[in-house]
Amino acid sequence: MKINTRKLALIGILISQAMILGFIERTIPVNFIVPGAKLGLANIITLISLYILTFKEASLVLVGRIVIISFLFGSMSSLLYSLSGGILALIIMGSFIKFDKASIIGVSILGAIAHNIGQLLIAALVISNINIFYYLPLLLVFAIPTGLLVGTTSKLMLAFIRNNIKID
Amino acid sequence: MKKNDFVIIILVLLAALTIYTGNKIMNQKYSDKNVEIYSDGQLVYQSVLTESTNDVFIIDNELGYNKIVIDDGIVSMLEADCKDQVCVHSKAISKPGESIVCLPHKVVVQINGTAKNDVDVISN
Repeated sequence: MKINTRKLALIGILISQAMILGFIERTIPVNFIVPGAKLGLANIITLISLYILTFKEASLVLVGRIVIISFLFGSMSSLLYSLSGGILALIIMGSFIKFDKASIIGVSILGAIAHNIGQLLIAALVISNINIFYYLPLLLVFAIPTGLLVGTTSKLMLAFIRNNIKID
Repeated sequence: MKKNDFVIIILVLLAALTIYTGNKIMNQKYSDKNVEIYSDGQLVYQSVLTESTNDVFIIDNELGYNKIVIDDGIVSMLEADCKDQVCVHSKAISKPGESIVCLPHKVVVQINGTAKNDVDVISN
């Protein structure tokens, strides 16, 4: 992976933006509606990274954000949950973008679902109880409005970036 | 939005509905039920659950504090000192297949169906 200064700066900006979105998300609790649910605002940045950077560079943005946030505000277990959800979402979204099977909004919904499933898998391992998947149907339904929100925002931001910022 | 986006949304809703009703149907056949509480993977409490079951169970260990209350057969997480409070806000449970999970404290409260509600049980 060859990264020039411009790319490096861009990756740094994306990581810090994702951190801010993650922080904003903490102030808007939605897990009262569905246990364990969240808006996934930081996924806006992951999605945009996947569209404007290579897959490896986008992975760097994702892992960078998760590691920094977990070390600053989280714990070992929050690192584990964020990584499992984040990486699964990254792989699913990356594949759908590569094969151009859906627009950014569909990709965003799939990312939200992949994130949920990744976290439920780790949660099931941690508590050694598969019953946690009892929450899956509700989380699936909830992933649609949040995925639409994140996808639409990313779409608007992506258009702005492509018109205003030189990437390579 | 592409056509595939709508296909994704519909498939997701269908999947959610299928899992939800599948779980409901699979647990419908039970007439008797048990409530079980697990802490860190270990079974720490077990009781037959009927409409007249009343009990309070407290888990207080190095992982944290959880107070589970059974009120006329309805099980709920009344208190917990976990950070996210997801378990306290979870819906109270009373049917087989339902559960409440406190992830930070590794506490699982679940209701299992025991006796089958069909002819086989009688012939046995």
